[in-house]
Amino acid sequence: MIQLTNLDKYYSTKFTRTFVLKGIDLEIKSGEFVTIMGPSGAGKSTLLNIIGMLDEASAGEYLFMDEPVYKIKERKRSELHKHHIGFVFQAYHLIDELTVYENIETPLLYKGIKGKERKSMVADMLDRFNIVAKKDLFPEQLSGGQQQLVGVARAIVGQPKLLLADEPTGNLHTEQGHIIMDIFKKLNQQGMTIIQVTHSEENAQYGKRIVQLVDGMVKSDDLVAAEAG
Amino acid sequence: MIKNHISIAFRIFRKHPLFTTINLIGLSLGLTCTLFIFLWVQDELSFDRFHKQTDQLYQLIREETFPDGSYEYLTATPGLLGPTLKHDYAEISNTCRVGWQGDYSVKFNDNLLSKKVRFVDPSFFQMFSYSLISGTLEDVFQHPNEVIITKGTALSLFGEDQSIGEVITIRDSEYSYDLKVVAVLDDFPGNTFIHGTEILIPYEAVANNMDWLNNWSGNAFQLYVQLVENADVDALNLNIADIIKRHTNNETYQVFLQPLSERYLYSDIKPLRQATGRIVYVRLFSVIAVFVLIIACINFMNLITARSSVRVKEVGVRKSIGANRGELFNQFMSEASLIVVTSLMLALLSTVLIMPFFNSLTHKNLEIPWGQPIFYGVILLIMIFTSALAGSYPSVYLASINTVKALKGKWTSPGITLPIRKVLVVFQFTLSIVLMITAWVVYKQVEYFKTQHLGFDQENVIYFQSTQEIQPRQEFFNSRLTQIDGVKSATFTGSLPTSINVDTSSPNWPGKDQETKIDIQILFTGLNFTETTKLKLITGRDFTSMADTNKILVNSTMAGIVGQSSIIGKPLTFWGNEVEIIGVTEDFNSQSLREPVVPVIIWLNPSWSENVLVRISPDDIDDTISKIAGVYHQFSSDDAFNYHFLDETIEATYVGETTIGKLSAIFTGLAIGISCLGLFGLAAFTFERKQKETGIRKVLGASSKQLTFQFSREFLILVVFAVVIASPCAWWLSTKWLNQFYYHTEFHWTFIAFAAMTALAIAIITVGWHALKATLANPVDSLRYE
Repeated sequence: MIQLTNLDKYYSTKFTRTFVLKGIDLEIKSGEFVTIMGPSGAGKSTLLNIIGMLDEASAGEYLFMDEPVYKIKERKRSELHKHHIGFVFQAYHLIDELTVYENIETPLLYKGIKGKERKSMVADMLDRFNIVAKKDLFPEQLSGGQQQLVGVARAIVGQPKLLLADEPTGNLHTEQGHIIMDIFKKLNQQGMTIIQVTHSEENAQYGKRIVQLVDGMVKSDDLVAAEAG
Repeated sequence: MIKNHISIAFRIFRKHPLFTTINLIGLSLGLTCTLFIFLWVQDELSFDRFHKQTDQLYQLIREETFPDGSYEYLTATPGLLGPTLKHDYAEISNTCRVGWQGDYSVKFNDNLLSKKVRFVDPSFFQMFSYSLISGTLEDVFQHPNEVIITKGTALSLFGEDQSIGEVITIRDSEYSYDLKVVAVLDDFPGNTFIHGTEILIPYEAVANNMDWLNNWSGNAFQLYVQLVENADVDALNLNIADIIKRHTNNETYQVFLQPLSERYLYSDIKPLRQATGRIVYVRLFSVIAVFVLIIACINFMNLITARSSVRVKEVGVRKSIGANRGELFNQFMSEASLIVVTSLMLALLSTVLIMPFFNSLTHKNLEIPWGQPIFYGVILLIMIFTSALAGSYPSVYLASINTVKALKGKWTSPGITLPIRKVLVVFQFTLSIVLMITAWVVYKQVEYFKTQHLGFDQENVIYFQSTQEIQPRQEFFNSRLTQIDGVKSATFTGSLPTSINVDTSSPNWPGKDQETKIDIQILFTGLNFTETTKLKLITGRDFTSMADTNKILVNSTMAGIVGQSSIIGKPLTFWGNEVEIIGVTEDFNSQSLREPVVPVIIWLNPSWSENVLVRISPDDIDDTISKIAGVYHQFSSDDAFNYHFLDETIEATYVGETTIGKLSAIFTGLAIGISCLGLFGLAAFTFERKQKETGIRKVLGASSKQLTFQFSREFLILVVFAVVIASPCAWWLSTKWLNQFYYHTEFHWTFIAFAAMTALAIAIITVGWHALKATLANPVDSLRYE
């Protein structure tokens, strides 16, 4: 599904280049659940953003579903992003002025899904995450865990093939974190490809593969040993 | 999607009420101003364009050349010119002589009124299109004793009764006419040359008393000409140019046609027939309208982008869940359009509310043309223009924010826009200050008009027309008036001394250089003229009795031309009369202050003096006037007593300047208001960026006072900068404007100082409030964001 070849990301100043990512080679197959780990500043989030097409690499090649991301037109890339990728953020990043319902609905609006179908898809999500009663509340009226549930619901409502999560439990209590991670695991079992960035060893255990990133380079890439479940 | 956009827009408006209100007020102000100017300009442009054959209608202009090479352009033409033109030129399908408007007494049964009357040729109704209320215009004026009145006149004379067929009596100081009403017209609209006239009489009715109708000697008629369709007016102008010369041997006159629809806006004809006039103000205000709207839009842009940090996260999130630039652009654009549409509604509402005030100010009768499709077209155009101008930049700007930075909250608005913002603020304040100074100059000049010493004392003087009964008994009437307690003195004059309209260019005196041709104004008077007007006599003596009828007074300018030494007793001949100079008066302004003082002859000639001038005491004016009316009616019971104050008549001459002054004042107020919003926007933008700096400085021990001063200073520098740019511009504009008046007030540095102080004071209040708010904030709150 994802093929990164010799990928670099750097910032140029007048005399120097500061590399955030250097020579990344990474292949992620459909249905995988990959955890990217590493110390602060290792480039985890940057890598995730590049994979999610929010950011561009400075050099190298990126194939997404066999399409060369940097060689296709912006419009097509935007379509790929819109239809196949969902994002979950550490800070939830819900839109403050929209209700729970509207937040979940928004990606469907951008995908151009028509009224009735959209309604049933959103209703399905509300039901699935048990937040029907909260659908008319605004984000500030929810707890962190509830906000992140909405965040996840919004990320997957469009049925993306790939879910990207940047420290999804970073702002949550342990208990709330477990709920979110259980959902991820279930989604993965249903066939969704998931890439998460986390500091938590415990959360990493939910996945199938761990990529260690240090100073912008892949230090190790292992399957999760001794699968617990 | 649109529903989503609108609902989020409303939620954001509600969340930031102050901000939204400022945006709405700013845009509404700009739009209201634009609407008013649009309506005013549309009205100015509509003068005499409503006639069915507007494109074929012209007015004849007489060009007079003087020996020194200067020109004068006049509308008064000889009586035979019209009929001759129509007879001789195939291109001319119709001509119509129109007289000057005069006050006449109109009587029906016991109803006695003073009405504004004009004489016209019967062709009037074939050429011009005015709406008929009752009666018929077919074969109109085929009988000399017919008259046409307006709706208002009919109402005041006949009430609700039928007026067609009734006979009314119309009197001036010489003749009476019994005329039958054959038609009632709607009151003449404000945008036609004949506006204000209440009664039309055919020249045939007075033909026996008016020799001028059938000769080439007097210039007593305005002449309107209708050409056949597709006539070549330039070629015709060449052919008719010397027509007066061909019939009179007067070599100084040429004539040409000016389109009727241009007469109002291009009334001021300059040498080489370059026409200008009110069109200058029309253009000026149109430019102001566009400027005001642009500034309002710029402020809108500034305020929105200044607040963009509030929206940054949303942009990031939306992009991460699949929005592309186009969709975000649409979203912000629809938000902007929502504000624009709301502002437009508010602007329309305030236009309706302010309209009566605006109308009384501009002496117009404007209304919003709800029934005209073109109006909606213009509204739509303004809406699209404003939305595009005000909304596009913020929308592009917000839509192009980098997603990753936005989500991390690391985004700050780019520094490059700060200098641009500053330039915009300087620009706005420059414009405001220029407007402020020029409005002040216009005001000063109007005041100058009102207070300038004209050479005589125009205050506490009333005047009215003499009558057929008074004229032959002038001295007796005069003595009866002066018996009234409040009357100090009374006299008779031909023209008003403030607007002499009789002149001669062929006077002669011993020792005159025959090469010099000069134009001399002639004022006919009765006895007691200098006493009543308080015009000072420098040398010689005043008229003492009717035996002085072949004697004249001259003003100093005239005396200077004749030769100061031994001027008393010099004979002077003109129009075949020989008269003797017996005294010299001080110079006085016998025309408006736009013109210099000209030579004047004051000629004791009671029978040609048909205005009564009465100097009254300032105490109990009403009582004095009613007593004067009593005496008047003892002499003439069939005439309406219709008096005016001389000083008010003089002020009315400057009504154009007064209106322009008031309009400038209003637009100045608007410009200042809008500029303040601009400054407010810049301040809001800056202080939002300075939150952290303010917090740190306060932690380090700076006081609110110090910070307020420090932060305000950088804005005040902008205003000072604007003053520096605006002053020379304002000086240049004002001087140019003032120089069109021969007598004018001088540009004074205090005008600039006044405007500068005002602008600074307003700026200090606008910025100081922001600065104080920012510096009073708890530093902990502002630092917590980091």
